[in-house]
Amino acid sequence: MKIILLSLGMMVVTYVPRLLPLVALGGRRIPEKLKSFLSYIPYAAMGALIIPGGMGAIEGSQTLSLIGMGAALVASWFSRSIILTVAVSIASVYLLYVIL
Amino acid sequence: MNSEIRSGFRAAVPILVGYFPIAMTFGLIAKNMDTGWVQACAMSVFVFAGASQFMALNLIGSGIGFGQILMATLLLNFRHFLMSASLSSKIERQARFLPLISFGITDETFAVASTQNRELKVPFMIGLEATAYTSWVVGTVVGYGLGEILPDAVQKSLGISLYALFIAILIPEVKRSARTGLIALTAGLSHMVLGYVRVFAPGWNLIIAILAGASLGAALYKRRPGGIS
Repeated sequence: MKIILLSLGMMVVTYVPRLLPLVALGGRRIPEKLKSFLSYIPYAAMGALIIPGGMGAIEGSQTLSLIGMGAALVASWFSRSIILTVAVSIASVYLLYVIL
Repeated sequence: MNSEIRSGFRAAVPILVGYFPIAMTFGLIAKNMDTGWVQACAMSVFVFAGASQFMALNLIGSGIGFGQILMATLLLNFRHFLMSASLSSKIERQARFLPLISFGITDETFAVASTQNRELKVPFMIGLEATAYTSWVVGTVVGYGLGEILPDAVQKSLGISLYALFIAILIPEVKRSARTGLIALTAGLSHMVLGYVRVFAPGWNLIIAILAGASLGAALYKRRPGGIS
């Protein structure tokens, strides 16, 4: 029950920032500079989530985490397929995990 | 069926495939902590924000109070405020659907939606988000159920999927524009440095790092005569 209450609380603090700009800004034109700033947010966010969080992706092995991300990097460089990239990354970590 | 909904479904396929193992991982971790499967599902159903859910499990496990978990969640998910603001200029104005659509804004649905070079129709957004949401919730259930069946090696390997997903979204953009790579790298390195210096709470570190990266991007941005660079 406590976790369900926590989840409801988390929903409120997560939903309000998702909702407010979309209903309140009303499609008003945003200045170009601000717009470019906003458009860079996801790339900055992904960068900040990958570094340094990705190094701890595989519990107890920074090496395997780095190898998994390296595999994802190589796969995504040569293929535009997100699915393939994720699969290659998981498979390479799994194989090394089993061998080592 | 409405072709916009279908194109939303199609655009969501990579997210569906990317979310499923991550949601399963969430379910697996919840199972290992014995939260109960109803509790694990409730979190995925209500919150629908991966990073904060993993963080919450982590904090519950370390016995941190709910007030602090909520504060950290607010900080961690405040980035959606900026994403929602960014979408507000691209999305079709249909007021009664906006509360529904805003619930489904995540890093990934935003990344897919914001890289469509056209106005975003309501059915497209609903198709996109409903697919991602379903994958997230079903993945959580399956992960919790698989907790006892899957070999340990597979469970551990799934930990990489979240980051592989981010890399897979990021790299094609970096190939298109080196500036994007610089922004991501700046944000990542800032986050790492902030983690070492420990001046701010971890939730703030992420936000400051994101703001640093995006600010750099905005500072480098030059308006070309007659168009957007």
